Amino acid sequence: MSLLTPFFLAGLALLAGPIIAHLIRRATKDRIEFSAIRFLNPSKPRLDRRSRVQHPLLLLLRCLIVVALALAFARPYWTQTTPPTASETQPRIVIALLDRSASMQPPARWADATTRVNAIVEALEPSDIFSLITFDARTEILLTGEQWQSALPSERPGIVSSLLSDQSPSWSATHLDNAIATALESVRELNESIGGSASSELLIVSDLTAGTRVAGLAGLDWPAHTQVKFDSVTAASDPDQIALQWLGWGTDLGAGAPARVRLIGTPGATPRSVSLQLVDASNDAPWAPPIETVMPSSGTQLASVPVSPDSPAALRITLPDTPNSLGQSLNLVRHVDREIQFKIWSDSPSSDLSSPRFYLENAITGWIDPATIADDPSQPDTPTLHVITSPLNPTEISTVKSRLEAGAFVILLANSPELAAQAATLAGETNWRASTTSRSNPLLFGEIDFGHPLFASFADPRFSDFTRIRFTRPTSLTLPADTRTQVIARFDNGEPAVLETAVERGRLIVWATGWGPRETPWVLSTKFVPWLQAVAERAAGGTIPVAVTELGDLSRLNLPAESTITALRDPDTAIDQLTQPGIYQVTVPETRPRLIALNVPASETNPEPLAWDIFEALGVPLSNTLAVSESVDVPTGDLPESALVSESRQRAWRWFVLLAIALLLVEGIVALVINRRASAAVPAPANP
Amino acid sequence: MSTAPAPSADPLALLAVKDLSLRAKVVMEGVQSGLHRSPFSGFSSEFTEYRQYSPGDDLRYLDWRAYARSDRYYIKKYEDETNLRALILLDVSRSMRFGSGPHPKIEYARTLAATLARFLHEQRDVVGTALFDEKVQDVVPPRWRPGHLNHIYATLSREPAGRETAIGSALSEVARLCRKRTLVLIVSDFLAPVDTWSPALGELTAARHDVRALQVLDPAELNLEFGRAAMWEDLESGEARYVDPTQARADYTTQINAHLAEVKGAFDNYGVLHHLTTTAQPLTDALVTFLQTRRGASRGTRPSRKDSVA
Repeated sequence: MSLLTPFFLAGLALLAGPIIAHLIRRATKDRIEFSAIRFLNPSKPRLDRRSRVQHPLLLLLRCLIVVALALAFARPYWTQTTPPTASETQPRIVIALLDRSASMQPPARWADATTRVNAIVEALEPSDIFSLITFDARTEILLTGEQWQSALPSERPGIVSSLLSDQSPSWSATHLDNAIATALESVRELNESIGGSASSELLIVSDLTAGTRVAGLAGLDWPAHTQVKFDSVTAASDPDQIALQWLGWGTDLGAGAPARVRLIGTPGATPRSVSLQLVDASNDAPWAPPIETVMPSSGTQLASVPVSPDSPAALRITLPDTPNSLGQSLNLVRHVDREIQFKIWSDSPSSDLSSPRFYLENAITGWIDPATIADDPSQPDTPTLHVITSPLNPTEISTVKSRLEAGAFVILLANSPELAAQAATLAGETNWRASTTSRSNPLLFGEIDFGHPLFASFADPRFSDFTRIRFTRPTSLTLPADTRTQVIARFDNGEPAVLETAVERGRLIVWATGWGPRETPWVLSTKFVPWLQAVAERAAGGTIPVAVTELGDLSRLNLPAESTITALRDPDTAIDQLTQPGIYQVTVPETRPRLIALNVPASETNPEPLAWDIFEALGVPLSNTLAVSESVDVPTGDLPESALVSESRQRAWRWFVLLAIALLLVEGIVALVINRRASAAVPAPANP
Repeated sequence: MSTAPAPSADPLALLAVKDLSLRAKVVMEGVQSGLHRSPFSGFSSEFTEYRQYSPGDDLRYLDWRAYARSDRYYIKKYEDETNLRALILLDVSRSMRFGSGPHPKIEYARTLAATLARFLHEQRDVVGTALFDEKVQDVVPPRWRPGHLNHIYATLSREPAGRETAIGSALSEVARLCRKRTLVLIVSDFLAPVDTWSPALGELTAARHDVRALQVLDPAELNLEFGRAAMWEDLESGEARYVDPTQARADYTTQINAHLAEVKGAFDNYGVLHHLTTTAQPLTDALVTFLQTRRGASRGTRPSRKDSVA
């Protein structure tokens, strides 16, 4: 047994307390009250031997309490070379987890890591079962236990060495929790295969940076006799090393939206000036003068890099004055506003308050995607959203039809049988019957398909109240049985109210009513602008996809399966999988190509080491023989790590505290019994 | 077939009862069954004297035979018509809190006083009580009215805060308080030096008050079969001395017996009825003995017939 804080044994000096107390006679404290003391003559006191100890059992118990408490404070632990419960006859399971995340990119660090794995394999006994797992954001089992067992012992190191030589660090984040969960699953499977519970050891070869994900370790169920040992590879950190992290585009104040970035350095480093250079990614030529900022000693700084509207779409921010490090450059794709063009087919002037045109033109102002009205009917090519409020002539119908087939969206307000017939023409159908009558009791929406994109934004019960929107002059539409047109909403008399049909690549949306204020308060309701904006955004191609993201978070790019990806510098070579940071061009058939920028995960660029005590807090059974490099912050000062970890794992002090409590209880009972016996020996006075 | 012991037979069991009135009732029943013939057996049971008729007197009590003999109107007076005034004086000093058993002397004495009060009250006598330590306190004047007995019980149950006993000054104060002739029953341990209170006792008897003394002691106070070698501290004076009871027992017994003889001599000297009881003795027996002794004493030693009115 060893002691972590042996100086607490000085508390054993307190043993003198109970010993002295038991040697002192209690005669002076023993007093008896009597009513007739004047008839009593004083007696001569009898002298006891001073060396006699009173109540030796009590004294022993009290001394043991002091000893137990002193030992508890001294934090004892037992050093063991092998797990005590492991059976010597069973093989040992050793699983090496090799970190291949982006932070392992420095060649020296990766070489160090592979060397360590090879050294682990060399040190194994022939009976040991070994498995090799690599991990970054993805966990991959390179060598299973069965494969290891099936190979000849003499060939095993060579197999591992060749597997490692094929590996290289990726650019992904470090998900250590997933890797350990996979390793534990392997341990269970191996235990089942050997029909027992062998001692197992997870050897983690990693640089353990602060961005390592360990949150999932909290819920893990650890098999018996499993220990985790960290083999930390950490290159000497450069205090001048700085990484860039993408935060997003800032607010455009007229000179283009600036790029917001965070500079991450080493905390405690000397404050210094840092310049950020905006570079054209296509040729690496500087695009704008460098931006100067100060890197404070706290290790974090925010910077805003101006990006003018005339700058190229593919950009890169670099740190020309800092040493080459991970995350030193940041790839960007300039933010370009998406313009939405409206074409309103209406006979009424813009100032006519009874016309839907007035409300449409007012509704589209102030959108994030700038919306404009195309007034020139001779150039109807660009508008993406057409709104028809008045009957069209045959030429206009053919124009709209062609735009519709090319992918435009058309909203047609069928407030008359003539417009309803034109709607049927645009939809490519016949036999649409329509009639318009004024109603004294207005109609309401009776049924709305909130699952359809037209009304999906109102699906929440807080927004789904359409009872205030009434229709006084609805058009009664009757569709043929074989129609392709989908009814999105119906009036409460069951007749179609809002319809949608696909015409080639475009969409035709028909309202069986006008939008004039005399016909319906729809354009005055709070739902009108969100509805129109949703249709316009859908017409423009949906939500603007993210253009700048991190590797490992590619789902935000929303890439279609049929898209073709090429590098910006090499547009002729298609890339199957996005694995490296850079700027790429994504081409989807029949759409304009777009650029995407991929960067190193921010979690990998943080040079800070992971706080060591997190593993203990998450309940990881750490091995008592840790091999941690010097740079890992271990809060033990001068003590060897193995002592601290062993003590914290065993926590023997708790048993000594429990022993002290148990002794206290026994001591209380013994003292009570002794007191009762003493009282029973002589009658106790009844006086208070 | 054995009969169950009376509830009042065991002082330990009785004193465990918290309610003083209940204790007094139980003892009272025992007393009534223990006396062969009650000296207080009834209304108009004993003729006392004649007095001359005056207008307004009840004609039922006119003695027609005396009228026939003397041609004068006489009214017959019976002893019950002359209500007795009784005052029970209870010592509540610190020395009364001593007890070698589970109950101190004061509990025993308090029960005796309560039973006597009930006894007298049921006889339609006016009874009062007073507690004393250094001085007389908590005086309940003798009265006969509904609820008065409960008032007496409440006063007797009160826990005193006094320390030393001063029987002499208490008796002097009683003599000052009681203007009319009164039966004074003193319940105390009488452990104070006799010369400190015997003159006051003389004053009280000289004022024609009928004084009776009931001395209550713990058995351990008589034989010192109690305690262990330790520092013994006086309950009243606080004086402490090292006492080993095995060594001190013989001298103590001699001294306490001498004191008791001195006490008895003082009471006899003033014609005061005195009875000694210990807390180990059943309360009923103590009271019956006390009352019967009183009857015998009144026949033999009391000079006046009127003294036996109680």
